[in-house]
Amino acid sequence: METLGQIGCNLNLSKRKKVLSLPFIFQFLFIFLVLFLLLFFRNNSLFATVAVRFVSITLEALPFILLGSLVSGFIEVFVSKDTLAKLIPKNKVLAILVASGLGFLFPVCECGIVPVVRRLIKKGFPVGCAVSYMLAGPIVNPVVGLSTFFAYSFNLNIVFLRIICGYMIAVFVGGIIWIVFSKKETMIISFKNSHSSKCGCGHSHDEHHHDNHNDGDGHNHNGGLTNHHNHVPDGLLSKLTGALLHSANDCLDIGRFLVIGAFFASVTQTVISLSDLRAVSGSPVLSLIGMMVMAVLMNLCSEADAFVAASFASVSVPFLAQMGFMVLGPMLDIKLMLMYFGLFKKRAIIMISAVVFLSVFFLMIMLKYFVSV
Amino acid sequence: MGLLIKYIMFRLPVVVLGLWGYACLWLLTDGRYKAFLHPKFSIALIMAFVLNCFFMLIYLVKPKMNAMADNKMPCLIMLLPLCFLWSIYGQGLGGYSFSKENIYAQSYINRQNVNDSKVQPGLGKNTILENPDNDVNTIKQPKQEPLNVSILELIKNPDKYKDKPISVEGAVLGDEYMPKGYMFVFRYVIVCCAADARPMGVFIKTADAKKFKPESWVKVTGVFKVITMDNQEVASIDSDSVTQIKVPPAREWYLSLF
Repeated sequence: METLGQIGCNLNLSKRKKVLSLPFIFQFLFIFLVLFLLLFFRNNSLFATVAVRFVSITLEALPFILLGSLVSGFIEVFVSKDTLAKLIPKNKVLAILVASGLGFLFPVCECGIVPVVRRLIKKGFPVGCAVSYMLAGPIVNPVVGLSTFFAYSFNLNIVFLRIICGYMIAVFVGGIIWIVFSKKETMIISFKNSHSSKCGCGHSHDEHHHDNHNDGDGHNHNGGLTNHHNHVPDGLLSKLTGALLHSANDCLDIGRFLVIGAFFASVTQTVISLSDLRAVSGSPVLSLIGMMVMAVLMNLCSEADAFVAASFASVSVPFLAQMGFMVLGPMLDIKLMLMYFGLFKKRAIIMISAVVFLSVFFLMIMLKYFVSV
Repeated sequence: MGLLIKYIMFRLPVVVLGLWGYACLWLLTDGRYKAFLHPKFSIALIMAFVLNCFFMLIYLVKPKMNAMADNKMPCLIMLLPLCFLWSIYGQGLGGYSFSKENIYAQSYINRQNVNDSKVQPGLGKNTILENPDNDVNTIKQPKQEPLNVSILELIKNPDKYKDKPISVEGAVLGDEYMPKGYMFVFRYVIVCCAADARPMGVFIKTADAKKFKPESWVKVTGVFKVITMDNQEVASIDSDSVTQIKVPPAREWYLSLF
């Protein structure tokens, strides 16, 4: 039988272990490094450029993270698992096809979509469908279509080509993910730390089941579900409060990944120049790879990237390399990869990144023989 | 003091969300956000302000959450952009972003389809002018009152202003490879935010090319021309006068593509 002292000792050890985890050390070092740079290199021209870009990317994305978190909180409270299940067709292929086109109905940019997808997965949305929606949403949507239309001198063919390419890649990657990660737990991180402890109801939501009870905070933890509680507070006011609570937690949790990603994105944007591409613009394959790498490093918003892509015409970058840039960028960049850490396990992030990169590459190579815009 | 720090740490989510709410308000005041974002983002910032306030209030009315929350690290990370915002406000992208760019591409007049492969690639900074009309002392006097136009407008509609007297404002690029008798005046053009800012500029034919410090702001009056440099048609002004002007407020640095 453990004595109180032993229990205290065990608790301290587990706390120390938690405090000294790798993500904790990384985040601590990140804060230290960034503050050090700000204090000692503030007046350096290169760092000033990094700083302006860092603030700009964060300010640009934050409203959408907040909005995405709000949607996420409302999904948690107002949409039950059953309702969600009814929205998605039973057939896997059909489900992925539908999910990839959801961006037209719910246009969300790549930053705002992460908290929404995170919540959808938690509510039981099939992982393959969620990945498809996450990848296609920032491309297959009317706002991005419009910006591409303006950027490419009102050329509708380019708009349709971009949307179709984005849709095809999302369907393909979603399908692959569904096959490879048949069990959700192998792909998705445990939300125990990021949600349960913050919920305020004071107990874990992931690893135990509730009988019908009310914790006095307006949370009903039964919700009629068999294997997991449904976090549905009673009454409209309580529901709204609950939704906002979940939204606020999601915002802080995903927001940190945005900040870390935005910082690394601004560094790469500043250090690497578009002109570096000129060296490889003579070779279609090399310029395609170059543009795809640029898309990952530049971390542009999907509404803005078409204008940057179109500007590559001035350095004779082939059109399909520009298209590769526009299709890959909203699906995969440094900022997004870091934000995925708030949702997927490392193995899944590597898998998604590799499959997306390769499928965009091969699709563009194939298009070279079939498409003339 | 220790108690205060403990209290702040206890209420960290409220402090962070409150500061972000205040930052949104601060940025919206006098259009300060335009130093980082496209003007259309005012709506997004108003929305961010409202949501931050809601989220902060919800943490305030649910104090139990702060005790439970294991979110000190996310909160501290979320504070970093605010430290940057208030430390660097007033600094621009400067000429550094230009240092690795091909200046001819930034003044390039695009008359062709984007996928047209006839456009020749830029040959680099050392390329000699194809039509070096180097007599910088011959300055054409504008006959009409010069039109105040932006650099972006000139590059988008070169034919509209060709051979007309105009006046533009912008920052001076310090470039050791600049053709003799020319200087380069640029502005940054943004679509969404400063992170996607692309420099755009015009060549200024002037005898005073070396007189102005890099990144100083000038007003140029002269006749607009489209000339060929580095195998590309670029925007140029045969200057009548180049005068140094006061650096405008940060919110006026960027030109918006839309």
